[in-house]
Amino acid sequence: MNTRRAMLQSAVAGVLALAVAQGAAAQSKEKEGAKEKCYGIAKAGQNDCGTAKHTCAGKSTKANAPDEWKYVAKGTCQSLGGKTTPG
Amino acid sequence: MASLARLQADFLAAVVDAANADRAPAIRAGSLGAAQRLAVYRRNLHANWRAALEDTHPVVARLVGGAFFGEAARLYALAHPSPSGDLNRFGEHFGAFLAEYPHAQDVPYLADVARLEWAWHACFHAATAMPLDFAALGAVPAERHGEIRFSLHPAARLVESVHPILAIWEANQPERDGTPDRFEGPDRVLVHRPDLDVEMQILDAPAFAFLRAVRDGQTFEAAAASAGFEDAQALGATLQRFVASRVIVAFAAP
Repeated sequence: MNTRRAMLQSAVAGVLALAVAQGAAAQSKEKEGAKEKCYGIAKAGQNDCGTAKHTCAGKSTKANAPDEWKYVAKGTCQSLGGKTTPG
Repeated sequence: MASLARLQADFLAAVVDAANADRAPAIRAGSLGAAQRLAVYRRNLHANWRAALEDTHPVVARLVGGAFFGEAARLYALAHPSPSGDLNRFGEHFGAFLAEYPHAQDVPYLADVARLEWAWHACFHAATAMPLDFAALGAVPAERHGEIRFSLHPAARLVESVHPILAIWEANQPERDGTPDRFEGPDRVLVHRPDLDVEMQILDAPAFAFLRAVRDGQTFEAAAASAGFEDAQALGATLQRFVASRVIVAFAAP
């Protein structure tokens, strides 16, 4: 029990020692931090349903019955298929 | 049910699934019949669902091909209707769906790859976080360190699979030909977005078990025990590593 408590305490003490180094690193990071996350660019088109990409996709009135699809997965790594256990 | 509400519910059912097409009797035929006019809306809807799922699951789409993916997306959407006006939340259960989907059973790693892709997507959109408050941690009495409950960065996810899912994911990025570097799992993956970019890395079993216990709200002592750490050096190195890389960013004091 004492050994375990000592182990936990020394781990937390190690993290606290890290604080000094981390603080310096964080400051230098802030200086170079001119980049900004630009919301709505990388994943555009997901929250409306009339984007240039999508609007015409379903407009054909030609029948497209589900049974036309082939239920065959075209895996690009078929060599992995069937492997359900490690080793 | 009020008649307007019933009309709307019937219209929705008729738009979503062709099997309910006769539930929208209020639609008048124009130059196209009512069923055809509904079908226009239905295909738009299905195309949007599919596009949203393909945006969040490009590797799954590449693995199975367009026809398979389109049909799986349609059935997924019927089983798990979008819970939000924001399609970014639409694909959360796609991995669970694929795990049960009869036609995906030939590709046993597919569901886990979908879970990994969703974790990437969730991390991309998750909140940012400040690093750990070291001053507050230093104020916790040493004899109570074992009772601290650490917590993970909001943009950190853990995905485990018996299959080499990270190798498969990497092999199916646009610039690769689909051949994985490794053919054996298990893969225990930490998905994390400490700054702007989502990063993925393989963890060993103890590190993964430790983070999972932390994520699940266990105390530091319980997390260390469930990960099987026996010596102070290994535990200390693990904790420091994840604090320094801002996977662990907060804690609740005992």
